Amino acid sequence: MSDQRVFTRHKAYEIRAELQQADNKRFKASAARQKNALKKIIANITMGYLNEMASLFPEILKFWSIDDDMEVKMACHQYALAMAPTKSSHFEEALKLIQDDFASSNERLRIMALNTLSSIPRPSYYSACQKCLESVLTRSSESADLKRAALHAILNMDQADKNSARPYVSFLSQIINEQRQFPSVRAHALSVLDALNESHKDLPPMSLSHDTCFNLLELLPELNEWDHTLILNGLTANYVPQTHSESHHLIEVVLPHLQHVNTSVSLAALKLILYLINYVDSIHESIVKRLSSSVVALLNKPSELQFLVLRNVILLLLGRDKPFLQIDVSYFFVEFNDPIYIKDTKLEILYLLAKEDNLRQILQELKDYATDIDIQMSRKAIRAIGNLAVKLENSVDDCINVLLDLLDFGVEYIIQEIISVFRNVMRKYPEQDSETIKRLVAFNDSVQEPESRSAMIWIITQFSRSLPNFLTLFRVFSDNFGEESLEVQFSVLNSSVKFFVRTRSSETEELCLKILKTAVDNADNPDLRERALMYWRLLSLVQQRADSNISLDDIVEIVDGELPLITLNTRLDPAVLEELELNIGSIASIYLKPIGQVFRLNRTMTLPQSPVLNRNRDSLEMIPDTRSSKSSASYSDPISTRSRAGSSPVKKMNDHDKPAETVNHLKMKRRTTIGSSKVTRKPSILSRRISIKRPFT
Amino acid sequence: MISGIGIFDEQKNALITRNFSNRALFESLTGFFKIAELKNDTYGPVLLKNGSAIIFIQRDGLYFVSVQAHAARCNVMTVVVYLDQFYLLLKRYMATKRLDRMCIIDNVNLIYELLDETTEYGVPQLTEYNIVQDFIKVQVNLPSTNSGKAHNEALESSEESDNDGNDYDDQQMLKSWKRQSFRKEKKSKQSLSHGLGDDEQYINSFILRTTTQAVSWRPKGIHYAKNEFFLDVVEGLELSVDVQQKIVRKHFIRGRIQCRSYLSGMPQLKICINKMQKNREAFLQTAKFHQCVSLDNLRTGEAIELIPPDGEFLLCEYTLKRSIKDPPVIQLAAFEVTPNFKKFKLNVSVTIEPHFKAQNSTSSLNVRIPLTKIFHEYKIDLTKTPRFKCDTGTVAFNLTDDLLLWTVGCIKGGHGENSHTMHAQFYLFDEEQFKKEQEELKNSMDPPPLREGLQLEKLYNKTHRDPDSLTNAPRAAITADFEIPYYTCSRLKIEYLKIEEDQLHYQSFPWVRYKTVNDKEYAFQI
Repeated sequence: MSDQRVFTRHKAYEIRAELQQADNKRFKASAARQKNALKKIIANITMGYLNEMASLFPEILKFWSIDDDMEVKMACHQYALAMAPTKSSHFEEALKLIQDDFASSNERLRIMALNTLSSIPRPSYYSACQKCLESVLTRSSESADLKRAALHAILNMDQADKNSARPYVSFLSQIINEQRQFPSVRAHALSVLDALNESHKDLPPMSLSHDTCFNLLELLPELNEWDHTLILNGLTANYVPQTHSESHHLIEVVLPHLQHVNTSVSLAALKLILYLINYVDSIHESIVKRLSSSVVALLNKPSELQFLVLRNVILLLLGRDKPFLQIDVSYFFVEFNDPIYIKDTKLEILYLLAKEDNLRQILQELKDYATDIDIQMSRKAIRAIGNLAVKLENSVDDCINVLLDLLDFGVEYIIQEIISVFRNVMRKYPEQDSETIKRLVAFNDSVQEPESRSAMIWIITQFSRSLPNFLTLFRVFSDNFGEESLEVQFSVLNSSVKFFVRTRSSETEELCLKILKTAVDNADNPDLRERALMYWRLLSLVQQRADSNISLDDIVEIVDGELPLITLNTRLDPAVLEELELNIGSIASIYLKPIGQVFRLNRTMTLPQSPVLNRNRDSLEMIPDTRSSKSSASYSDPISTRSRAGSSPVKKMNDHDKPAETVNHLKMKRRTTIGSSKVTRKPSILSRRISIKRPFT
Repeated sequence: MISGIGIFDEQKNALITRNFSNRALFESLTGFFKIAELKNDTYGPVLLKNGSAIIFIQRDGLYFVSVQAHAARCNVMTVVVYLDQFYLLLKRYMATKRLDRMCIIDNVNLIYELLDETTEYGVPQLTEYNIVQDFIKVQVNLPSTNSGKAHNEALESSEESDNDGNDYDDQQMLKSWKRQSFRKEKKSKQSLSHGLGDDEQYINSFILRTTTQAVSWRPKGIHYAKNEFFLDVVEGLELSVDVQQKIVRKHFIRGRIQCRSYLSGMPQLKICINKMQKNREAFLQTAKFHQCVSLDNLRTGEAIELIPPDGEFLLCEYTLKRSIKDPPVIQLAAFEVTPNFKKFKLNVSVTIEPHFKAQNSTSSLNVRIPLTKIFHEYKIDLTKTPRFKCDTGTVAFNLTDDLLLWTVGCIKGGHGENSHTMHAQFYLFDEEQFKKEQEELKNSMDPPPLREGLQLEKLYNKTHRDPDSLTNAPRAAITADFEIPYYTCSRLKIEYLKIEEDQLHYQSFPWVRYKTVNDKEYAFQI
């Protein structure tokens, strides 16, 4: 194809020759050749041979001035845009041409000119651009497309020069309020103003009035789906409700948009609702249910979208002390064909969701993952079980039993991971029975990785009282002290000293001295040497001078004292959470970090003050829905855990053997549906009911 | 705001890039994307660098990448949705199931145009195929266009020669339906072009105004000689059952209401679904509607009200959870592996039961039974040909993938009273006999007996040289794919469909069909 010939590397002089050659030939043939040559230039720029092509600027200028063809103009504008960073001296000449283009009657050309003007970072261009902008935005006769182009030109200029956009701020809010403007122009104006506000910290917050807000929402049916997102996003945090009823009303208006097939619209609606919920006194449970189910419906999307939904929304909303969404755990069970990033997020969510009542189900699931073929996954699952044990104090035994079950699998990496995990569990619950410890210690020889080795050493040391042969166990590690990795060496050193101060026998003394000596004499790592020396001095302090004010008990206290209890930090800081909820759908919320930490220059969002703002978000009252309990009778109410109390998602398959009562039941029900519908009773106002028996093509 | 978009191939070579603003940044970031480690897809779809972000999705082995100059300001969700929509749009333009490298390279011009049309200064504008298609009429450059056309023509002529006799045989009906819809499509195109012949040149003069109007998805001035509206309700069943632990892991109905509209003017449609009347809350909770549906009326109104776009579109998607008590539509009643070590035989039997209305029947049903585990646990002697027997359909043995494919075909519905069984018999390796034969061969002067027919064991060894393939195999599961026409698993029904056009007052023909199929996963884990 000719396209492929265009996409080859050319020298500037080759193309120049081609352009000039074309000049001489007959007009019609030459026009086609010129276009081809221009295409080659653009193709070469696309491939990155910018410097080579830069020398062709004079030729481009020549064509620009004489040719009126749209394709040629397009190529010229593209060329100018590409050359923007080169600071070529030809730009002043080009400016004239661009202005001519803007003055033409062709709308596409005018849009292009406006775009080029605003994108080239030169003062002369900016002043020209400002003139054009004013003429476009003030005149009501201009088309919507041109006005939108002008709005984005403002943003374009703002990106390069921070001060150039400032004069337009009042102008923009005027457009937003103006009823006669095109709906899409108003939507774009809102988003541009929002963007400006975000990047300029000193601008006053753009508080929209109540009327404007509802006005904008009324526009929604007239806009396309992407503009819906702009409006819904623009209203978040920019409109501050002043009374409870105002925000209630607004929630009602926005709710239907959760149903949109475009995920970005439904998420934007969700974000706006979540924002508004901060300004109400109570909320109907049915709304919570609708939110939850619309989020669940989003989980059936391509994996990238699914990831964003999981990460952005669910993790956030469940991160609250009182989870806002009511979603059943089974939706977060990992599928074998999920990409790793989804698996990780789902594990996190499972961990967050775990409570006493659903722990059994989650543990069963995690146990399955632990025996998965995927090694990474299985390790993460075991970690999660260990963390659950630390988190839920009442059901430690369940978790420990699962871990011990998994030990029996005897797979290398599972053992390593379980031993490492047990260190944390043991530290939280030191009163373990000696059986468990004996079972763990049985794997003394098979631990390989540094982390699990040092975990094993820690366990042996800590529970040496219930292990009569602890020294022999310990020797496995201490015998080749020199070859161990640093982490293990530290553990060995600590433990040997602990043994010595705890039970002072010749054996422990010899062991301790040996380790200290090797560490001081042979160790390469200064930290290790340092610590060994520290221990050595400490011990010799007591032995040499009996009159010193440090007694042996003090040393025992220092070396082998009570360890502080560990806790896991599972909740996000409420302030951060609040900010992230306002930023659903942005990059910061994927990382679950405050905006200021990810992007330093941006304004951090906070909930604007209002007389009805709820400071304490957990105090939000939920009005239970009386109807819902009835409606769950027939086919599944997909979300509410309450209605499913009788039929948990994990149910025995034996149920299938029962007579198919649902079917008979339904036949009757269907009859009633038809009978009860008003529609079928009045056939006159309806078109006929239709149903044809034809197979699908 | 998207600063630039690119499509990259599997090796992360740029196939096509388009930047909307800052070029230098775009180049450095795409360079960064190229070297970024994407191994094991541990990263999500977002990469961050110096306050700029790369957002990408992976489809059909291609990366669709977008670059954001000001990451804090961008809405990741919008971008990802846009990329996804753009991918779907491209796929529809190319009319292929799978995009590949060559599709992109051959259609650079088209893609540039599409990118320009679907975004404006990096803000997504318009991704509706039915509208974009009227703007951009660049010829799609496909490698197999010619053969495809010829095939279509052949199909058409053969069908044309068929008479219009009303044969109620299922197969015939299928054909006639095909023909009908095929003609319809042709007719629709003809009526659109108004006899101007070349569709390329014709542009609906209303189209340019459409995007800025209230109904942005439907141009004015559409005319058809015959006004028809097709509505297909397709329900996909997703099922995952752990047979050993007797646990139902997943049982979902993923429904789609797909429409094709060939209606003149600006018609107002009212569609009433029985679920809307009875289980409104539960149904609406998971349903997602096309942008043409007026969402405000959904909560209160009796019916779905809409002005449909022209041509094909997806009206509604919904997900319902099936009650645990409902048996799967195709139920695995029994799966047994019984070795007989005395006779050195191994019997595998599979029984399935249909659980749907007795009046309906499947138009196709295939059951796949994996044998990997069996081959792993038992020493199967493939020198002796295995035998298969089944009540209905045929059984095929897929040696390379270690599975039995049982093509059941058409079976009637029921509620557990009828079942269908398949038996397979394999021979186990008999060491004594093998030794005896070897011994005999050694001692006798005769040449080894000539073997006729397939030598399965050789084929098996040829395809199973790689020992890793066994360990990497996903969990063994009996899977089924099927199609049941006229039946919706959720008992969803279109109560009525009303078409009104205020100005033209034409007679219209609504057609409604239902079917239930399997979704991506319909598996009994064994």
